[in-house]
Amino acid sequence: MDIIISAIARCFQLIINCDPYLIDVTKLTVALSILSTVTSFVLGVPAGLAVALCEFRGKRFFVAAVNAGMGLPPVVVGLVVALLFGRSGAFGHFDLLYTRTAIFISQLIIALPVACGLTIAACGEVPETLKLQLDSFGASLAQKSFYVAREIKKSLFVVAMAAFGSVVSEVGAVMMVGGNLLNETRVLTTAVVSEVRVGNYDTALGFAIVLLGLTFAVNYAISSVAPRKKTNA
Amino acid sequence: MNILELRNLKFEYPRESGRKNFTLDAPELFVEKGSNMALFGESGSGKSTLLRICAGLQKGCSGEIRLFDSPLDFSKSRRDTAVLSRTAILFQDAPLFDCTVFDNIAIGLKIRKTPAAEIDSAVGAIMEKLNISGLARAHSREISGGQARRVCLARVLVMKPELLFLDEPFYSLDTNNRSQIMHELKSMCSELAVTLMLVTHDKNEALALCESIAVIDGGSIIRRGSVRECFNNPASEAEAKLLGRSTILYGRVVKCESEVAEIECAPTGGGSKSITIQAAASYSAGDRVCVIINPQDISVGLKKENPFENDGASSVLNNYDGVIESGMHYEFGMLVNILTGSDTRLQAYITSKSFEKLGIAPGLAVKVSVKATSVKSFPMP
Repeated sequence: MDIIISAIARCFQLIINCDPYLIDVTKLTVALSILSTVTSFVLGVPAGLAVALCEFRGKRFFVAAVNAGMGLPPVVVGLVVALLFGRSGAFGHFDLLYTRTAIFISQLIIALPVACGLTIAACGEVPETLKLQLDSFGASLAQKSFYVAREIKKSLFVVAMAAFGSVVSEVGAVMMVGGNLLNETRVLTTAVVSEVRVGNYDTALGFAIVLLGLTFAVNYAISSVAPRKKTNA
Repeated sequence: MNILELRNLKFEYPRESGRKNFTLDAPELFVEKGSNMALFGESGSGKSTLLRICAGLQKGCSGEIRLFDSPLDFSKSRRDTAVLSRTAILFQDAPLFDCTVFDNIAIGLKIRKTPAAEIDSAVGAIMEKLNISGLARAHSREISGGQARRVCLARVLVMKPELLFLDEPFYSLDTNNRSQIMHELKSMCSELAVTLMLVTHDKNEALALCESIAVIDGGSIIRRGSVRECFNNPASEAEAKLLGRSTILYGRVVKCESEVAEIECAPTGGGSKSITIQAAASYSAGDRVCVIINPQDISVGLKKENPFENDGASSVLNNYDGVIESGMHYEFGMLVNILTGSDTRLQAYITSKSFEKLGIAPGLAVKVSVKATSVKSFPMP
C-alpha cells in the first residue's frame, strides 16, 4: 500500500515540477501514438470501406487476414520490423532501426488492421438495402463510401479509440525497434519497464498513472465529440 | 411500347449465398409504358430477385434484358447508369439514412451532382405532393413509420424515374397508412407518368395499383396477363394455390356429356365419401383432373330457401347440403367454411348483408350451389 501512496505522491511531484524526463517521454508518447492512430485511421477506414463495399475474388480470405491482423502479437511485429530495418535487412539501408520512425512503422502495422477490420465489421451492420439504394442512384465507390461512413460515424469513433488503445499501450514492438533510448525513443510504456528494471517502482507507477490518465483523456476526448444517440419517434 | 423486355433470363444464386438450389427462370416478360405490372408470388418465389435483376442490381444472370430499348450488360463491373438513371427502386424494408428528412430525399440528386438550387426546388415539390413539407428539418429518427415510408417514396420519386421498381413497399404499414400511401402513389405515378413494377404477395395491392401481373412460383413465371383475369380465373393448380382461398379438389372424370364433365373428387374434410362435381369442360372418362372453385362463385342459401334450387329445374348443376363450420370477417363481407354432406370443405364469400339475412352461424344447415361454368378444371398427369 505504501508503494502506491508513494507512487501517487511521486506522480504528482513529477507533474507539478514539470519534470523534463516525464514531459519528454509523455510528449513523445502522445506524438507517436496520435500520429500512428491518425495515419492508421486515414489509411484503414477507406481501405475497410472499400473492402466492405466491393465484391472481389479472395475477399473472404482478405477479411480473415485483416481480422487475424487485429490480434497480431506486437512482439512479432517488432521482430519483423527489426529484421527488415536491421543492418542486414531488406530496408537496412534506410538506417531506421532504433529511431522514432521505426516505432511509428511498427505502431502503424499494429493499428492498421484494427482500423481496417473494425470498419469492415461496422459496414456489415449497415442494412444491405441502404447500400443497394445507393447503387440504384448510381453512386460511385467514393460516394458510396462517403454515405456509408456517415452511417457508421459512431463506430468510426470506436475505431479511433481502439487504434489509439492498441498503440499507446504497446511495449514489445516499441522496445524492440526503438531500443528505449533516453530522450530519443523512450515512451511511457518503455519508461515504466526501465524504471522497474532499476528498482524505481514508485517512479514506474507514476509513469503508469500518467499513461492511464493519458489513455483516459484521449478516449474521453474522442467520445465527447462522438455523436450521441437520439430517441426514435 | 415496352419499356422493359426480358427474354430467356436465368439466374442461380452463388454457392456461398445459402440459396444454391434456387433457380430463377423467366423466358419472357414485358412491361408496357403506363401499364403497371405486379410480380406476384409467395415469399422466396424469386420475385424480389427478378426485380433486382431488372433494376440492374443483381449480377450473375444470363439472358437478355432491354430497358428503354437498350440492352443491360451484366458483364460490366459497374451499372449501366445512363439507362438505369431512368429507373428507381424502393426496397421492402428501405431504411432511412442517419440525417434529416430533406437530406434523405436529396441523396439521389446529390449523387447525380444536381445543382443545389434544383435539388431544393425538386425536393420541396415532392415533399409538398406527399404532404411531408413540415418534416424537412426533422431527423429521420424522429418521424413515424408512415412518414418514413413517404420519405422513402419521395426519395425515389424525386429522381423522376420513368420506371419505378417497388419491392413490397407497404410492408409493415398499418391498414390506414397503407391505403393512403397507395392512393398517393397511384395518383403521383399517373401525374408524373411513372410506370410501376411492383413485387407483392397481397392481392389488394396488385388490384389497386397494377393492370398486368406475372405470377411467380418456385422461380418460374407461371402466368402473365391482366390482374383481374388472373385473380378471377386461375389457369393452373399452382396458380390457384398461390392466389389463395380457392377450393382445390382432385378427382377422376366419370363421364362427359354435352360438354359437361362429371368429376368424382376425393373429399377434403377427412371423411370417406366422394363429391361429384359437374364442370363445363371436355374430358374422356377416366381422366385425372384438378378442380378449382373460387369462393366468389359459390352461392349459399338456407336449406329451404336456396334461390337456385327449384326441384331440379335450375340451371345450376352443382347443389350440395352442408353445415357452416366457421366464418371470418373480410373487408366487404365474410369468408365462410362449409362442410358438405360428402365430407368436402368449401369456402364461400358472402356479403355482410347476406350474412345477417341468413343468420350465418356455426352449425347452421345450408345449401351451396356452384354453376358448372364457374368450376375450373385442369388435366393432371
